[in-house]
Amino acid sequence: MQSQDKQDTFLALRGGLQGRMSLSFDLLENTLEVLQNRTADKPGSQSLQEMSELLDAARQELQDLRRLSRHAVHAACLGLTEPELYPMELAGTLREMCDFCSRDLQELGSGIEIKLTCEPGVQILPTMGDARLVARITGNLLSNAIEAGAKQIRLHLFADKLVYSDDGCGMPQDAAELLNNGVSAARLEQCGATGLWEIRRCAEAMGWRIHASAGQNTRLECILPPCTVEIGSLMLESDALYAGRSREVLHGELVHGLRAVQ
Amino acid sequence: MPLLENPVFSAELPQEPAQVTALFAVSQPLERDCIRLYAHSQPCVTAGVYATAEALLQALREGICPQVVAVDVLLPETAFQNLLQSVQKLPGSPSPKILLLTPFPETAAARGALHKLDRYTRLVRPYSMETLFGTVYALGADERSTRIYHIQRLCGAALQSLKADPALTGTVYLKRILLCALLYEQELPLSRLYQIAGEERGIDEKAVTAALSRLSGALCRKHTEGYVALCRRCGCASQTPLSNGRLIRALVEELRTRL
Repeated sequence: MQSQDKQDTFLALRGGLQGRMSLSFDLLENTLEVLQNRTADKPGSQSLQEMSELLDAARQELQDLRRLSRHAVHAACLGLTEPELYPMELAGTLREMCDFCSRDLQELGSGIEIKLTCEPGVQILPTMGDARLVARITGNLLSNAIEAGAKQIRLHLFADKLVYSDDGCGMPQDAAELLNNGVSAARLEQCGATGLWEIRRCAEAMGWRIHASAGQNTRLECILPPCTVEIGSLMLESDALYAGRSREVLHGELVHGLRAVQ
Repeated sequence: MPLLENPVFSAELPQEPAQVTALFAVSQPLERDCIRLYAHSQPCVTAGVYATAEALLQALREGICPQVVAVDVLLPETAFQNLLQSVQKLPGSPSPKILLLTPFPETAAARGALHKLDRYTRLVRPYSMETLFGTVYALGADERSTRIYHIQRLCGAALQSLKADPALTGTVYLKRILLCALLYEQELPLSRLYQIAGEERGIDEKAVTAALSRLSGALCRKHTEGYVALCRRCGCASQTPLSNGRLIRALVEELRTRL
């Protein structure tokens, strides 16, 4: 086989998103088969220990599957319902998410540093948005950064834009093209790359425009829509109800990124 | 179906099937864990499991001589190609057989890609661990060993589904009896099967008969769906234990349909 031919062969075999999800389900079926097989033999303590480790690995696989299903459902429902945006305070929301992710990464044994800074005078940034969409954008940016080997992740908030940067291996051209223009390449389709689409869909839903730069050291600008919300008349919706789900989304993305690096 | 026609005196318990050493290079950690753990229950297969093609190649350089090398096609492409080429160039003969583990082709492009690999033996997902190990064994062992291995697994699975306690001697004897009954083309008389079952440890027919009766009683008490089906096959009620002869005959008939 010629070199390009070989590359296409292996890429095609990945099977895209369907392939990724099928593989996860198949592996979980295999896990249940093996556990059933071991329990039939009245396992000793060594076997029980191995079974416990297998269950832990299966739990991680399930978390990854949950993440994929979230992306898939979001994609499937696109256009069926209008996004429901509400007045929110973006700086505070991002601050909480970054703090949570930093603590979570520490607990997961990672030394990756996440830092959010704001322009002077931008300690509070009201906007129309959805914390769940912000969590998905943040989570996917972080998991991509972790996969790309980043050690330092920076978010800087201006009055009219959010700038993300990291010191990872950088963004390929086709990834930048997808984020900027919504044009996907065969390579991304066949890998089943869902995170980039998720970032773009969530950003579009809130009226954010993305400008991503390809090449070394990822840099991404999200231009925020003009905010027509008067601070004085603002009734900010509490995110306390949603915090649990947002954290579950963020945690799932971080674990996914760390698994990919391992 | 009578088991007492045409006695075959030369029949004996077959030797354990040949050992097969197989090396696996698999990209998914969960799959590696499954293979390692499942291998504990497969005495005929010695499995080495590696996360990368390089690690498997290193094992080959260190002198491991497997009969089978099973490779996940989702390993990084260059490493995968190097591994296949290196395995085929290994000194000594015969070279290990190569088994490719591939995902199900979800698209036309994937089907075309799979077709390009058709010079190798392929196992396409979804596959169970049982199928994986069965395929590996069949590739690495001779025909007779493969047949014995296959029959042993069928018998093991059948008795497991009947919830036969593996610690009971009756279970051990029944497995031997079923193996002989299925392996030999000629039907063996029940008395000869009992002799074969007890030969290894010098156990006489009466003791084997008694152990089988106790097992049959235990299976009746467990009253699994499989047991009820066996009774139906014999035309007997499932509330009383089957006689040894009926139990053996029904199981042999059932397992022959799966061979």
